[in-house]
Amino acid sequence: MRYGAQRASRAPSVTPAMTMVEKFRPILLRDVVGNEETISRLQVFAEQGNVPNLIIAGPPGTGKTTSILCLSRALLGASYKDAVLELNASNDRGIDVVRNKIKMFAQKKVSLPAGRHKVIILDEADSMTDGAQQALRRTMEIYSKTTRFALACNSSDKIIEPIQSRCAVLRYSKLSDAQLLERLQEVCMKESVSYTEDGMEAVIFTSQGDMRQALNNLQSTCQGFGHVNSENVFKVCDEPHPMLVKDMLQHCINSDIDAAYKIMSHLWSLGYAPQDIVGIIFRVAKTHDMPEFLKLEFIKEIGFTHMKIAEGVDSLLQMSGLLARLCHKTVSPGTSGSKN
Amino acid sequence: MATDQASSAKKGAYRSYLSREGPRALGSKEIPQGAENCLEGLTFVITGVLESMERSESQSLIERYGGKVTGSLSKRTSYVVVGRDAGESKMAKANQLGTKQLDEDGLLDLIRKLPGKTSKYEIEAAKQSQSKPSTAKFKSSPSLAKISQSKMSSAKPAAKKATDEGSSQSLMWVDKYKPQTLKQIIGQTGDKSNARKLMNWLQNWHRNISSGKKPAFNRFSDDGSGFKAALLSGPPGVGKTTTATLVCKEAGFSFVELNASDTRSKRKLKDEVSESLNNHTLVDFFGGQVTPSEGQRHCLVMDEVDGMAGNEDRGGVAELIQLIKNSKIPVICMCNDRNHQKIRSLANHCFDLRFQRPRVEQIKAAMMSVAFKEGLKISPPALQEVIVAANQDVRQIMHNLSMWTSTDRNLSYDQAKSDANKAKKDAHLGPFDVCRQVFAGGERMSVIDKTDLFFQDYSFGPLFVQENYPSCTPFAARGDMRMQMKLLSQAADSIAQGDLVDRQIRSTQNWGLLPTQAIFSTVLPGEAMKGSIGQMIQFPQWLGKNSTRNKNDRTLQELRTHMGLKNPADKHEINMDYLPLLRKALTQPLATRGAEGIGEIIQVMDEYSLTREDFDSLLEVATWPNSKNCMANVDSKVKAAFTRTYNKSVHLTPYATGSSVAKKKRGAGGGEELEEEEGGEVEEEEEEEEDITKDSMIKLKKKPAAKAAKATGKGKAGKSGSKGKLAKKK
Ligand SMILES: Nc1ncnc2c1ncn2[C@@H]1O[C@H](COP(=O)(O)OP(=O)(O)OP(=O)(O)O)[C@@H](O)[C@H]1O
Ligand SMILES: Nc1ncnc2c1ncn2[C@@H]1O[C@H](COP(=O)(O)OP(=O)(O)OP(=O)(O)O)[C@@H](O)[C@H]1O
Ligand SMILES: [Mg+2]
Repeated sequence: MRYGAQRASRAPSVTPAMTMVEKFRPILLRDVVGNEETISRLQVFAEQGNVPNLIIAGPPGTGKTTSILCLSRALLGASYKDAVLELNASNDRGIDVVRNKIKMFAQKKVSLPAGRHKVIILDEADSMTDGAQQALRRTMEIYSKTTRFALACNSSDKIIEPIQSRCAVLRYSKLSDAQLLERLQEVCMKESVSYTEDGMEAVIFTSQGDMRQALNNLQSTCQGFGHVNSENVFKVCDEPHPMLVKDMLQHCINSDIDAAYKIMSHLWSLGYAPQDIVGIIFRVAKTHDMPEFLKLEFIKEIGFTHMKIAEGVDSLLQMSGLLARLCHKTVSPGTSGSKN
Repeated sequence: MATDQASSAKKGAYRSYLSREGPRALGSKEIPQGAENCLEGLTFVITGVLESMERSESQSLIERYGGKVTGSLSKRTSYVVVGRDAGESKMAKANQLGTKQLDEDGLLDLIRKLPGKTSKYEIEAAKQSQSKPSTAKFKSSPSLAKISQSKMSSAKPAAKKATDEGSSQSLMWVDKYKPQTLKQIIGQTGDKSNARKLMNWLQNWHRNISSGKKPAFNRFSDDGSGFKAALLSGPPGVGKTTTATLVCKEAGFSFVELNASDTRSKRKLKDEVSESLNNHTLVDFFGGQVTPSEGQRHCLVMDEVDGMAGNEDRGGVAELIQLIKNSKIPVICMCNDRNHQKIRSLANHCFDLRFQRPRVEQIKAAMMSVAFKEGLKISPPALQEVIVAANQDVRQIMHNLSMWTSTDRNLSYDQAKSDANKAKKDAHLGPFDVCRQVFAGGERMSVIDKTDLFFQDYSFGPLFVQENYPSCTPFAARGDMRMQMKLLSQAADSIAQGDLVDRQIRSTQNWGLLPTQAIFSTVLPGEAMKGSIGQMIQFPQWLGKNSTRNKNDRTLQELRTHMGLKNPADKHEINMDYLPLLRKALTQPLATRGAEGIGEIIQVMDEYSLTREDFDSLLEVATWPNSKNCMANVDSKVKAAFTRTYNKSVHLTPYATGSSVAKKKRGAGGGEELEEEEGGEVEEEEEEEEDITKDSMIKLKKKPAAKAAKATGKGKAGKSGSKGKLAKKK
């Protein structure tokens, strides 16, 4: 569910210029950022050959497909075209395809150097039906002398256990902010994009560890405004600026209702939907640095408010009420009204 | 009196155990760097709280140096590590057995001082491969492989194969170290092992079948004689396929293998298999090898029969059973999930052999020798982590090992542990585990982690939390009853709020609220009641109750439609106001006047257009928990007479007759339904579907409905009939 939207963004858009996502898809394994340990292992196999069957599992846009493609390219070089069968969710991968197309490919004779094998890439393997996966089982074993499988998926629990058992399972984690930054800066340099530091931060915040999303956001901001700063990024992504929200929460923790309200009314005047505002407050609060018990109290109040907004009571007054209740949590009893 | 005191003392101890505090000084002590394998061969039991480390840390510390941590004391326990609030019974036992006791510092000292040693596994592995250095080389695959592949429409070119076999470097480890004889299969070497049983069964097959022996259903001294097929079941990668092929080989059987990648539909099975089994192509294939005395020494291997459950292979299992019944050769089936519906019916016809995961120790020994041959350096504790992480799946272990040692031939304990943690299957936590973790709430779980628990299964998880939160003893209460009440109320409030959010989500499809629901229905209750759960996690009663409710609701709806002519009330009014009286009117005469009351009752029924089925369902719906069964003191003869009399006469109803609420065979009472998991809901849906097909309205529409309309002579009748139909079809 969560991934649906992002998946869609994968299809190359029809703009005449190549999207950044495709243009900057790494060719060599060493250009894939993040998950260093796993990548270095893949590099060894890329040189020596004889890769076991693989499952790479991890969140979207972390380079799973890319690494598999890099690996097969490194392994097979010129014979890539003959020796690789790539099937992703847009291909039909029902049980019949497994029984016919995949089996046929596995039986196909391609002469390769020693230690090299044909590769069958099954992208987004978690969308394969159970039946199709069952049909893969023995095929993976019988033809293992000539053919290896590489599967990419978001969560390995959608892959049936017997298939997992036949593979080495590698897990990718979300890319860290620093890793995203490194790559983004590289892209900006190559494309000579003008950017500010807070612009980069914003791109990173909105992409939540997903490189594809980050590149897409970067590109949209570039195309829309020509300059990447945080304001432009959040405008493009149509999201309230989390830094503002962060400040606002901090004001609430300090029981400074006036300052908090100022930010809220600013956000309100920018025209964001109340649902979105409360959504981002929720998200920021969950990661905000504050005592655990207070965090729970805050989240509880935010939840109440979210609920009321969902019921249709979504005025600015409602939002102000939230702020007041949050401030109330931390103000010590008996503090006089006129602060500072 | 005395026992009373004792038991209350025990309770007190248990209470203090439940509200026992965690370690007070985490990380305060320096963890020493010990010599390798210095604890090997020692067994530890930890009791009480160690102040400077959590239980899991101390355990992994011991395991890192080759020691073993067990849960209960025995003669073989080498040391008891005693912490604060140590368990009394354990201490008593330790004293009794004279086990050496250590405190935390003692343990650390031990690690500091003991000399390292070479692991017995390494020694063993080295010895093994010296004695037969040839095993490292891959032996050319036996002719069997060819047969099984000759079945695959086109076998691989022979030339290609030869080159492949020559270079063992280009084989995956699982193929390279695939057992070549039965003896090499891990965990299948014993006399009582499945491999042995299968071997005996196969060798005696022809004798047993020709002597007409019937399968003996004796669980214990069972050698499967008389069964025409064997079913090997068990988790993936424990050697089922390997065992089957090797047994066939060593017993001198040639075999045809069909697996999930072959179409195994009803027709295919019938045609292909029976053909290839009955004709002699295989024998011909073997040419001179087969001596006449061996006759038809063939075997059919049906691998991955659970892969047959799909749409395309519909009817496959039924056909397979048929095939087994008529088979003239032994059939070996294999599957993972022995308890799958379809497999269960198959299992009735098979010699049932269940494969267990091999023990960690067994695998460890075998893997050490693989590591030795590959020139890897890996310590036994590290290997242990790898094995446990793969859940004792031999094949996965080998894959993981080959992956993790690709950059560094030397896999350290820490490296292995971190890799193993990553490799742990993205286990989708079941609702029981989710529930346990919600309340256990480890020290380092963030709000986000807890939210993730909710997202494991957001339709079931909250129900489990709701069912189980009262049985938690919260740490925060520290045994104070008032405090506990307060926490309980907090949790309850929060769960109630979560339900409101849930309703909002489902009624408006506002899925954006899910994280909010997560907070209210899982995170907050878990936080309030964080502590130990005193009993087993209970299955939510709500599911069973809700399914009963739905059923009653449908019954009421039907009664309402049937009574519709006389009675415009809606179903709630009927339930509250009419049914209690009707119930009385329909049973009292029978109870007081016996058979004489029958006429009166039938009159009432006709008056309200109720059928005999309605009579029963009415009584069922109108009976509340704890109210007494009003048919209890009606003589069974009277009941029978009532039914007879009712059926004898013709009853004109303004609707088509025939029950639409399929009767459940088992009691619809709450008690039974609670136990079955999920069944409740699913069944409801099935039932609903049935309703439509069973609805006699569809078939009988022409006759009785028309007749009824004519007979009553009221236009209204037809109308209400069709209304009834609509209501039912909904
Ligand atoms: N680790 C990375 N290093 C560099 N670029 C990356 C990395 N991960 C993703 N990208 C960029 O994102 C694009 C998409 O990556 P990729 O298709 O490999 O993602 P994925 O992990 O397979 O996602 P999905 O789960 O949606 O299939 C690539 O074209 C590349 O430009
Ligand atoms: N008990 C074992 N002893 C030695 N090697 C084993 C054992 N179990 C599995 N293996 C290794 O794993 C590989 C696969 O085993 P096998 O095909 O028998 O698994 P399986 O039980 O049939 O699994 P599945 O249910 O997934 O088909 C073997 O080639 C062998 O290398
Ligand atoms: Mg198998």
